[in-house]
Amino acid sequence: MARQMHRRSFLQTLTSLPFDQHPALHKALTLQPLNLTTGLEPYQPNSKLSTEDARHLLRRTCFAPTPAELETATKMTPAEAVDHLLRPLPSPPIPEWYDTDPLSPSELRRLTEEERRAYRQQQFQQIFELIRWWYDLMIATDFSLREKMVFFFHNHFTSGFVQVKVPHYMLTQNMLFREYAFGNLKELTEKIVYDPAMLVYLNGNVNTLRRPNENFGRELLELFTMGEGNYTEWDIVEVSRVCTGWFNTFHKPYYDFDPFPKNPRLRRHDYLSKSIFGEIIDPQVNDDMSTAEIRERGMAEVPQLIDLIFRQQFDESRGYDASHPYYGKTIAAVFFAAKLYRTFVYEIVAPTIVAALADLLVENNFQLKPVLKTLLQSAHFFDPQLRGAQIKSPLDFTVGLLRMYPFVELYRNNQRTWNSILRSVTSVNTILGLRLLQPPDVSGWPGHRDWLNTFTYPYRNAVSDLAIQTLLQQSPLVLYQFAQQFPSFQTNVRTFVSEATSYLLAFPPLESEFDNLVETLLDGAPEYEWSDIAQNAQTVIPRLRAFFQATMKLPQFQLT
Amino acid sequence: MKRRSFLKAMGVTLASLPIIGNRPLAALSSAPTFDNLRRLTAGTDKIFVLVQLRGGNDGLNTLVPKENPLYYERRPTIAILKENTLPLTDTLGWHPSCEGLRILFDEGRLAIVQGVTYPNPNRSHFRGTDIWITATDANVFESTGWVGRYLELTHPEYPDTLPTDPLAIEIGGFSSRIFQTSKGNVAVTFSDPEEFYQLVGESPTPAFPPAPDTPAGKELEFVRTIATASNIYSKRVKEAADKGYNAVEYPEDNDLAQSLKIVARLIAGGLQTPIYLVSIRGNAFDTHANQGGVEGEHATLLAEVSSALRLFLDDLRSLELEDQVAGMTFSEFGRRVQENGSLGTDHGTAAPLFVFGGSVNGGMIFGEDPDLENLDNRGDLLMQYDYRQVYSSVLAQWFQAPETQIEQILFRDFTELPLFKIAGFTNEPSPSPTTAPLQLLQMFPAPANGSVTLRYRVQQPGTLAIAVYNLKGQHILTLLQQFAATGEYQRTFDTTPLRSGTYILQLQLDRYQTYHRLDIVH
Repeated sequence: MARQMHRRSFLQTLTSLPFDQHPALHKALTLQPLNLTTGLEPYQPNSKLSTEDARHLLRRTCFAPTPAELETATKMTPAEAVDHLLRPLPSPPIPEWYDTDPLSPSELRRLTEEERRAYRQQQFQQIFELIRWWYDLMIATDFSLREKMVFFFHNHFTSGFVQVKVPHYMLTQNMLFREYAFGNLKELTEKIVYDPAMLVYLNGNVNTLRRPNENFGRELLELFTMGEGNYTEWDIVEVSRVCTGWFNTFHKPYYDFDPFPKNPRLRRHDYLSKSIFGEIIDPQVNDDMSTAEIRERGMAEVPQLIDLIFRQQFDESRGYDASHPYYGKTIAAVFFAAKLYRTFVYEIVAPTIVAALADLLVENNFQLKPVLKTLLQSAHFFDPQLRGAQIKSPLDFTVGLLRMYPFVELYRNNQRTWNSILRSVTSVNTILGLRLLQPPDVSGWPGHRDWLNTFTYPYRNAVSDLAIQTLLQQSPLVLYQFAQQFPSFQTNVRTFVSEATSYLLAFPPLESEFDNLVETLLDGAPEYEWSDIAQNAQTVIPRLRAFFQATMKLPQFQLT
Repeated sequence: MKRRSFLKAMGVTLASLPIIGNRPLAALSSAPTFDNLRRLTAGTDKIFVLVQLRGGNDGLNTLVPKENPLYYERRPTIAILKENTLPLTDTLGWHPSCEGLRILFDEGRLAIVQGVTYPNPNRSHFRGTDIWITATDANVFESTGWVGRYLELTHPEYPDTLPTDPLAIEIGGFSSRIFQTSKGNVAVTFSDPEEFYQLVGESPTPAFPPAPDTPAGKELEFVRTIATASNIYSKRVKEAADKGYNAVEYPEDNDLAQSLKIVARLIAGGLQTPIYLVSIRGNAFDTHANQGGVEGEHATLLAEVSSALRLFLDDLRSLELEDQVAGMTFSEFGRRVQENGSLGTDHGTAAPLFVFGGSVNGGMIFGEDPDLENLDNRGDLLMQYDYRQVYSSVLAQWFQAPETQIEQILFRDFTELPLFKIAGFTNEPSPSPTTAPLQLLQMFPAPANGSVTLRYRVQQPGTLAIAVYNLKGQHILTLLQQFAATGEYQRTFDTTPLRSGTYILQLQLDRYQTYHRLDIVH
């Protein structure tokens, strides 16, 4: 009866919450910086990963480990496992509608009110299809860091579909992030300047000579590369001038740059010289040049700009002196290194580690792969004190849930069922504060403690209850089979609890919690009878259900 | 600028403006000071309800400048014709959907503050909302919310000790950052008390063993705080909901009314939560297209707000809670004067907001009619009041927060508006000032309607002047100026030249002055 009510309230909440949400922007924490001795030196380079190590690595990189991934990982050294996570994967097939051009603004104008509404409806359906497509990749991509990096960039170079509207642009951007998942940050940042979705989201498409729009220019410096306080308002004006001239043509995700550079009246790009951080960017064009050459010189300003940004350092001119931990470091490198640290290690950055990662980024000309490799196989990453020290994002929670239990095996080959599961993931995450492809604002999701409040916490509990329900609806035996993977399942109840909780939880249950879980399984029976209970599917299934549900309701389940 | 400076400039504080019925009045010299009053009433359980109109409400089509030809020029398709408006002032009319607000205003339970925004207003929904909820300058980024900062200052024990009742409740939203403190978000969020209770389940409040002092252990402690809070508060909220009841019917199809219904019920059930947030769904007020005029999207939204607020206040009145509860509406910005090409309006700047409740100085309009001639360079209305002046008034007059605390919360000092009747003052008879050279003995009727009669005593001969000032301290008119001999007088003055609202009545005998509140209703 109680379960039924849970389910009903869960569904009611699905429909009663506003679709558009604005979760907290920034973390407000009173946490102490860490004082750990571990650094970027490789973690146990000559031994295979222990099960616990493998779990930690996969939790942080793949949302949560599947049993199969764990088995693979424990046959690998840390370096081998990280290499495997970073291996290149083929590009996934993309939704079919991508091949049909979106309507141009003039075509849209010719539609009747009703047709336009229908068209918008269709675009929303395409966006939701795109969201499910991406969730499917997160859940089903095997042993790879790629999808987590795609989300990293989605949360960094943010765009939202409500503003962008054209689903093709959102998909183009998503594919760009996938292409650069472990790629070159400088190149990616350059491509973002004229990425179709970004051009709409931050008004780059209306940033022109006559009507400069600083929206993108400001965020390029503030949120994408350098952070507040490291540039002047003047720099923003000049950076915005460099970025003038780009716009989307509405056929296909496609962008173009200043089609009439020769015509002063129609000119979109500002071809005069710009002064940024005290350096000059000047295309040096004159009217004797061909249209093609003028355009080329104008377009060449963007890579110059990116190069300039990525060369800026924390130095005296910006008020830093030798006592600062980042003194002499490249600003953009520190900026990205800190964000990587917060994504994969802990919310409060360790400046020495971030400084070392920043150096590594610069040494590798901003190639991400070697930096990720160093970080993810480092002793610091595996530091026991940092395991379980992150709050699960809704992605870690929902995608992780589906990966830890056999959802893929049971449901993914049935397209209708799988689609409805992906639909649920979409709505549940929206309610939990993460509306995929629609960050709350340009600064992205603040993450960490902001994910949890007195509503999302019990809601997560209801979702994990529901996950177990769903499995049992498929077949009562699912949980019984699932439990078989733990060697002590049918022999020793305490060892079983220990094995199962260390699979499900990143932070162990404390003693009394552990005892309660044992009690949940025994349900009044003496411990020596466990073996008999566990042999009998009929008697053990209700106990397993209560046990798994109770384990996931421990506060520890929110940690990763 | 110092808070209350306009009143100080007149040598008077708000507290010296008693609300007067047909009874003898106190003169200024013996009136309790503002700070005394705060001490008298500190600790009373005041509740404030924030109503967020997400998306940017169009102020010009809410309070229609019905005599302004520019309004009709700039809004050829969506303007509200004069004959369709509901009466407000000679120059302003309510949108026809605002019948409920009109009644509240006329009954003195709703005040209007015109032209509210801040310097360099931001036209982005997100950033605009951010600014309103964090209460910062347009170019300052702040992680905590203004309500959060207030609650953190007044409840330093959180979260080590959880208060019996939630510090803040948000109905049906997602833990707005308005409730963010440096120790986390203090709001409890749910759509429905019963549903919240069921979501958490009937488990006993967990007793957790101590967590290790490691980074992960600290995060575990954080999750446990949330777990405990949702556990105890789901029970507490249900308890209050079960105990409370509503005295009026709220329509099912009005979401805002449904949210306010829950708020009223929880308050009636004895929940001591000081601050609630309710909001209208999605970004509903973002009427870029097909905003409509007398009918249409905006009309529907205004009708929803108007009816919801009226029902809420009527409910509270029936529950005898009206004086304990106040609230305000807010929206991230108003909309552009010029309508756009899609039968709607784009993001603008200044807009009116409403302050409501039994204890507000209702029936008053703070500020002038919107000036449609002098606009900013984007064609948007100029600021009359900073939104933080409203917050400052709420904190000072409603929550009676000390001045130093308010400065910590709002980062600066803002001039207050006299939005609230000062609690504890109205019903306290003041000692009769027998020594004052000039004494106002009686003033009636209150509020004045067409005329006001003053009975006063002159103790020593001198030049007597009686004048009316508005709440900004500007002189409006002089009623009388003459030499007066010792004695008791009774005189009646015509008040028809004054528009409805609250004024300050100044009585002066040579260099002695006394001030009183004068309410006028037509």
